[in-house]
Amino acid sequence: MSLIKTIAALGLLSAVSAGTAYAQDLTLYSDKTEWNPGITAVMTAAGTEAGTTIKVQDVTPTDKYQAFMQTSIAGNNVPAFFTWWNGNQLSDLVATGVAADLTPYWDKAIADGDFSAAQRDLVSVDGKPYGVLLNVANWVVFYNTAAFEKAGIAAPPTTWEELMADADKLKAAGYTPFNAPTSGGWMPFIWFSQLVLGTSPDAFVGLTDGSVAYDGPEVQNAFKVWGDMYAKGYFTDPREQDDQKFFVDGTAAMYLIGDWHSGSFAAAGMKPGEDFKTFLMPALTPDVQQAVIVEASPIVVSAQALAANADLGKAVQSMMGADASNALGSAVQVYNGNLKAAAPNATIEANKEMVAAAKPRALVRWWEAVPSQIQGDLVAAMGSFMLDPTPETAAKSMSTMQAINADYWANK
Amino acid sequence: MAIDITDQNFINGLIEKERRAQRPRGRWLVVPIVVLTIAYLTPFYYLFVTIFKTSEEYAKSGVLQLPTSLAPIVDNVVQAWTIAHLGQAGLNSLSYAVVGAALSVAFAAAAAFGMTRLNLIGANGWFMLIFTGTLFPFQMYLVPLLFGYQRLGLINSWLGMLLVYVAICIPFPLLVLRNSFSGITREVDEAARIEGASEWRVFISMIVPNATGPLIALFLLQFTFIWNDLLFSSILANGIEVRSIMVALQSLQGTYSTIGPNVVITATLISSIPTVLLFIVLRKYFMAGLQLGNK
Amino acid sequence: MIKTASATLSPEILKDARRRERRVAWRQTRIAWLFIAPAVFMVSAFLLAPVVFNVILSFTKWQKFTGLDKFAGFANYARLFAVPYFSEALSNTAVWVVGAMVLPLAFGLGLALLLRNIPLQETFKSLFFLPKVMAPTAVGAIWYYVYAPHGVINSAVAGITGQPFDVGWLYDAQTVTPSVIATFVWQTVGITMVLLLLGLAAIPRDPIEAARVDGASGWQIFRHIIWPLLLPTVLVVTILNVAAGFTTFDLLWVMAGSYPGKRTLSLAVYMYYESFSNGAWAYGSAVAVVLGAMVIAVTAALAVLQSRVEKNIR
Repeated sequence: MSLIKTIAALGLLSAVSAGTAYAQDLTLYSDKTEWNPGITAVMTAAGTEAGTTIKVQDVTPTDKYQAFMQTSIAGNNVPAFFTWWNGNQLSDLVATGVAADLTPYWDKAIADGDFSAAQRDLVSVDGKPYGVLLNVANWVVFYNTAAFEKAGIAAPPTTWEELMADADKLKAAGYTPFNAPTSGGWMPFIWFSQLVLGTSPDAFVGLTDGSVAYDGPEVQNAFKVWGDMYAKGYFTDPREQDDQKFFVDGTAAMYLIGDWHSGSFAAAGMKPGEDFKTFLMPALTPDVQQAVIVEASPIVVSAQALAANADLGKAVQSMMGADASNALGSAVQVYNGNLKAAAPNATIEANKEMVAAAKPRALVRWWEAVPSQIQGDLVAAMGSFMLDPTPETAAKSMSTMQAINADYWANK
Repeated sequence: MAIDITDQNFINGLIEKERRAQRPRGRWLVVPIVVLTIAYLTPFYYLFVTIFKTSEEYAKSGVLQLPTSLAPIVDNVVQAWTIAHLGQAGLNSLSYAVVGAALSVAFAAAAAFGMTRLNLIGANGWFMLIFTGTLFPFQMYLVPLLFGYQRLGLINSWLGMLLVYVAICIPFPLLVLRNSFSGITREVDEAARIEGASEWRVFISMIVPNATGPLIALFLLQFTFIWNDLLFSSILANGIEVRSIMVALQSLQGTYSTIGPNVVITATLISSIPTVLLFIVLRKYFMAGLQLGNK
Repeated sequence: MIKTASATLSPEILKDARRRERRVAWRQTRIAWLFIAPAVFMVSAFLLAPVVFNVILSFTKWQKFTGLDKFAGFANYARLFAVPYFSEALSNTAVWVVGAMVLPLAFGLGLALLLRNIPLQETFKSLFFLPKVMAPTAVGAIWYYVYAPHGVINSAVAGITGQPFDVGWLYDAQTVTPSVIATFVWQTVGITMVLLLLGLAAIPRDPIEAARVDGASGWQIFRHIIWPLLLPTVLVVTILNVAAGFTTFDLLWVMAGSYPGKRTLSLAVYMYYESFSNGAWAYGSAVAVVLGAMVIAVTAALAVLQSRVEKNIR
């Protein structure tokens, strides 16, 4: 009997202590682990403004974070703040009614000169803004300056031929030309969408609205180029889960990614503008218009939380100020686009100028543009190809993607 | 053919046969058994060398190499503990497992008593109803539970998790206890009833003490099941305050690129300690528990 | 006794006795209701009602944020075959079921026969049983690194052969399922062995000794005496393992966490993925219904077989 008593006491004790730890704090949820110090800085200041404390909680990788948020939303347990995506992802979210309309705060921020009306459109659905900008990034190719020097490459490539020639030189110099991870459950789309974009920007857009098939000629071409590049040994081992490892340890010479990543390269010991620089990815053929992908990530505020605590408005306003932008920039070198704030590092500044000069066609990322219901299924097929880059897998991935795509648009 | 029992050869043969049967069979078997066991235990060896390595050491040395020092385990434990909030999660799981297993076995025992010791009309029907609960794969419960919990406000709550664990853990103990209660002779409770004991008294002081063995074994099995659960907690309660230890462990594994395998493996060990300890201490009951389902 | 007595009793007394008996029965039934109520309530509310709701759900258009009220007919079931992932998950599940049915049993039986009657038997039993006490989540986390590109297996092979060895066990469509099944076997073989040892212990020694005296070989003894008597235990083990093969989730989810095609590794994972990562709740429910129907059909068939075999032996 003493065993049973012990068990009962133990159970009671742990039940009581588990119960007391259950207190509801205001929390910002995010899948952006690398930015945690910056987000924490912004949210600490915002919390102080609102007379409360706001914790930051990471859930990674991205696909798990999405699942977590979906169940939280369905479970009517929406965190006060959370990071999200713009485009289709945001309109789907807004349709649930959990996102707060942030028009008054944006009006004030624009009046104060912090942001522009064009920037508001990045996070707007039907003309109303539903997010505070956390990150506005250009998608560029980062390159290791030492590697380019060692391979005898004087200037970054401006055409696809030059890029391929440089890749061969880098390969000869002992580098893997491109870092291409599959980690986080989303990264496989990067090269897929880039190669379609390089083939035809219109087809790239068409992929996301059902007008272009995933086994059509543009996609066929993209997979062919992609497979050839794999055959030549241009890409790093896709199984590595630390996405930047091969770039920062000098194995890979180039990395196609949003320029928000420059901060984590810097954190790993590479100096922006010196150890690494950037160039715009050229189109596959000269007759195709050059395009750049612009990514904008919002922080969404729960409508419920904002309604329950009017002081949270002060927090939102603080998140849109220049101080917040600078705090984010100095902590993790992520730029949220605030016009009064300085670009956090030389690379981001250079990219701004580069884009302003080249005037490429600016496009929303495939990730944000594609219907969220089929996003994950399509990325999985791309990832399968990266792990086994053969023509057979390419054919299988394409037919799988098109089956999913066709099914979605037929039943929409 | 008649056997000549005086034939010395035949008797010698019998003696030889008998001796062979008596000899601890197959001393030569030791070799394959040892080899198999070593191969089988390699993952445990890997576990024990890894928890004593730092992340750098893990990356640089061979995975099966011995660690250079025992000290890194402290930092590994601290990291696992703080990053995954293992303390909170462990406390949660402990409370789910202890309270959940106790309640489910208690409910099952009460139901088994009602079905076997009282003249319950339609007892078989009631039994089948509850037993149906073991037929379906858990996947059929998940979506409805999630949304039911949302409506009832049980999502992300300690109570909600407890309720689902109790329900899941009732059918199997009921099956077992129904058998072991019917094995107790009728005279035990008839005598008590004649002396005017209430049914509750009969249950508590006559039947339960006669079945402590199966009850403890069942408690252990259900405790282990709840402690080891990932599926339900990952969906119904993934908040830090209420999530189970397995959800915490999984949040650590393969997600943060900055956390080395040494930390994850250390967390694995920490999360296995309670069930392994229980198994070692109460092995007798575990093994008895295995036989319960077969009868 | 009663029969002979009743012949002499009047019908009134008999009727009265029967009425009293019924009254007692009802009184006891009402008390019994109190005893079974908590269990019945918990199981009905948290297990059976969800199953019913799950079936209803699978006929709606519910996904992500809308559509619970919209009737979809069999659209979700039609989609199972319109999209290639379901078929992939189905065939992987078939591999799982066969693997889970055959492998732990084969290895467990081998081990049981090997470990029977040796010294330190209890120690070996406990050692092999140990992985089963650990959570699949924990076991999966360890084996994730065992199979990693620079993990235990690749390093060990490279060390033994002196050649670089790099197989992406958990990243290759060809190897991922067998690899996770191997871990499943590692975890399950101990309990399978222990159950079989219990079955073996229950087999009477006399017929075996008699056969041995008659000069039967080890294989003949196994085939004609041990196996038939062990068959009921074997079938119980098979039922447990087949059900596990159908529904294994934790191991796959943890071990194949970084494999892009993980959603099709089994129906259980596919259901989880569609429902909780993709937000396709109605579709996920349809997958769950199909999975449930298969599990119930197969285990019921095995259970019938088991009870027949047991009857034949008696």
